[in-house]
Amino acid sequence: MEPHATPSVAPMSAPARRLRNLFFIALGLLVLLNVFIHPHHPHFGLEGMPGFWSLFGLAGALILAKGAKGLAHTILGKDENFYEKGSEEEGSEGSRGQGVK
Amino acid sequence: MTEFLHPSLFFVACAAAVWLLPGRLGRWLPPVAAALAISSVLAMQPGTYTRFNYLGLTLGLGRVDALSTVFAHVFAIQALIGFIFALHVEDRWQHVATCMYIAGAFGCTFAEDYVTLFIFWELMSVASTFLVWLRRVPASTRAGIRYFLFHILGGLLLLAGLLLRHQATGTFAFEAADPAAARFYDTLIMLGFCVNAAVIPLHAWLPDAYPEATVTGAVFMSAFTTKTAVYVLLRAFTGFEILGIMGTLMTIYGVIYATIENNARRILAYHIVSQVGYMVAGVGVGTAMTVNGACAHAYAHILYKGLLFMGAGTLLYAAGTAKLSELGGLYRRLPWAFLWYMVAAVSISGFPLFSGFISKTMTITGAAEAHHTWLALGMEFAAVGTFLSVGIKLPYFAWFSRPDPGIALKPVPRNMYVAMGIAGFLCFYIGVQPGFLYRLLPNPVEYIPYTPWHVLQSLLLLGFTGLGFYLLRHKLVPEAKINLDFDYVYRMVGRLVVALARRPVEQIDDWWTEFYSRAGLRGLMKIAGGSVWFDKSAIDGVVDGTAVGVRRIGRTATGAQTGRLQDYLAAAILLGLAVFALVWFTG
Repeated sequence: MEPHATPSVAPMSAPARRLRNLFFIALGLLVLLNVFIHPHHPHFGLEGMPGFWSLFGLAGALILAKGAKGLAHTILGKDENFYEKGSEEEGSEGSRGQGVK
Repeated sequence: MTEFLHPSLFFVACAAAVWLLPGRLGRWLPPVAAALAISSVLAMQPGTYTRFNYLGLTLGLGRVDALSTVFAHVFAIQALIGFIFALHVEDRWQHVATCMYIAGAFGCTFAEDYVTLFIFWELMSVASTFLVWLRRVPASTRAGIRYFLFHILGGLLLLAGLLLRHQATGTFAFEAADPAAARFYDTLIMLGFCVNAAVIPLHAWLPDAYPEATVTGAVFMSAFTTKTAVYVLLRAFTGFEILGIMGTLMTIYGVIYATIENNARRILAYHIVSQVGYMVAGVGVGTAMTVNGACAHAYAHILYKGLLFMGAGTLLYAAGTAKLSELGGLYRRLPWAFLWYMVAAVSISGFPLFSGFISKTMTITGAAEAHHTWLALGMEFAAVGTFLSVGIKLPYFAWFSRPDPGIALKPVPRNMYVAMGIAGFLCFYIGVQPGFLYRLLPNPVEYIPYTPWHVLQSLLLLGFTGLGFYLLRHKLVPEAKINLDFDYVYRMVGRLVVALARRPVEQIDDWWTEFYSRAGLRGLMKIAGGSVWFDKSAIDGVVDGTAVGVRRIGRTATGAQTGRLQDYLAAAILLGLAVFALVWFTG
């Protein structure tokens, strides 16, 4: 999707992959703990459900990342010299960075 | 009088000394002033001090109570940390501006009436503008002008509100307003405060100006302007429901922009909007617990946000850029900056054992217990975004993500690391010893942060945020772009005004030239020579000058600010304030 000449995220090395697997195991353990540890008085019904906050965190991160990037790629994102271009010569604003997606 | 020594005194005196002392000696004074300020804050006893009559008004500079003490406490500590971070800076004007800025913050904190508050409020605006301008690059000159104009707007709202209020109530007393009987002047004052608190949509000056400030200036600005505004909101507008909603919206708005921004310091600036949102929401909900939460969060936030700006500032100082798209892989060459940055990053994200955990959860729990479930959920969502953008995205793309691109790095002065170490230690200390902070809060604290459930909930939330980042890490690669925000509106309004004003002014100039060449030459030449001289040099000069000035407003202003004018302005302000301070403190 992004036309980067060089990949900006390097592929994972073997130690990084081991670390990632440890991370996954830790996440699993946390959810398991959630089965036994509950809030004393949940502020709303769903909070008592095991795994609610893990779903909330994951869904929140995905929605935010997708949504914010979507905004950046449609209406918010502009060329870095967007404002400078306008102030030098008014009237030449036809070439705003719209084609850059 | 012995119990209260106004901390602003130390900073005003320090500014004068740094200005007058020859050579590089002056750099060592600001940390001394900050240390004196800490000791004076620690020695303070509650009460009202330094009251006097001036022009028939009773002005009070020294209201010391629990609320002002907690803010003064952290202001003094952050001043010391910031000045250690700035110890290597040789530009004395930066130290002078910073001292005056901090003097303004303390002045606002202890102000007992709106007149005193307004004076120190404006002092902060002027002095902080210099922290932007003194980076001395064209982009910061322009950003500084926008910053200053917007703060003038905020100041005028405050001024209009306090004058109308005086008209209606006959008092300038800076006291709490009643949420059930808010008047128009209360709204004006609140709007003035909201400009400085960066409440959306009045926030755009912050992410516009802070990334353009000097490396050290941004560290100070991140601490004082918005938190002074939180303090005055707490003082006057606790329990105004609209602030609860706006605050929660701020928390989310900030993280959305932080997720897509490329400039590391702009990401952090958007996170000020987001974090101050928690405090504004705490003010708005207005229970004892959320007021405590707002104070505690302000305290914790000043320390970790300063540290974040130090970390990102170190990147900018060493690598010459803070753009994530140009950084990456620097963990081998800037490991200490990475370590201290991460301490601040886990603090802001609210990891157990670090300061954000004991303050942020307090506000959220308080909002939930006051049955503002949606506000609490909104703030939890923003907490996800905080960890996603500041806790993972920024450090990952600055220090890891790809092989070291081999940018030449400038060596980092040791004092910068010392300051980061102190701030990092405090973030950790407050996280494990919450009692240290809780004792300072204005209301008794019943909240216990370290319960198994609170710890587990935070770890679940943050852990799965991490999983979300892992899944979408290719999607989140920073792009070399900027993002439109509300500053677009006032930039365009500014251009429109210039465009509209240009036509009539040029028209008048044309008419005058026409009139002058017809009537002027024949008619006026007959009058005394003095009048001709006046026409030629004064009137024509004024009109032509105006037209030219309007036409080139950007460039003219740029030239003026980067030249000598700022020195004269600074000197004039400093002199005025010294006289003012003499009258004030001795009167």
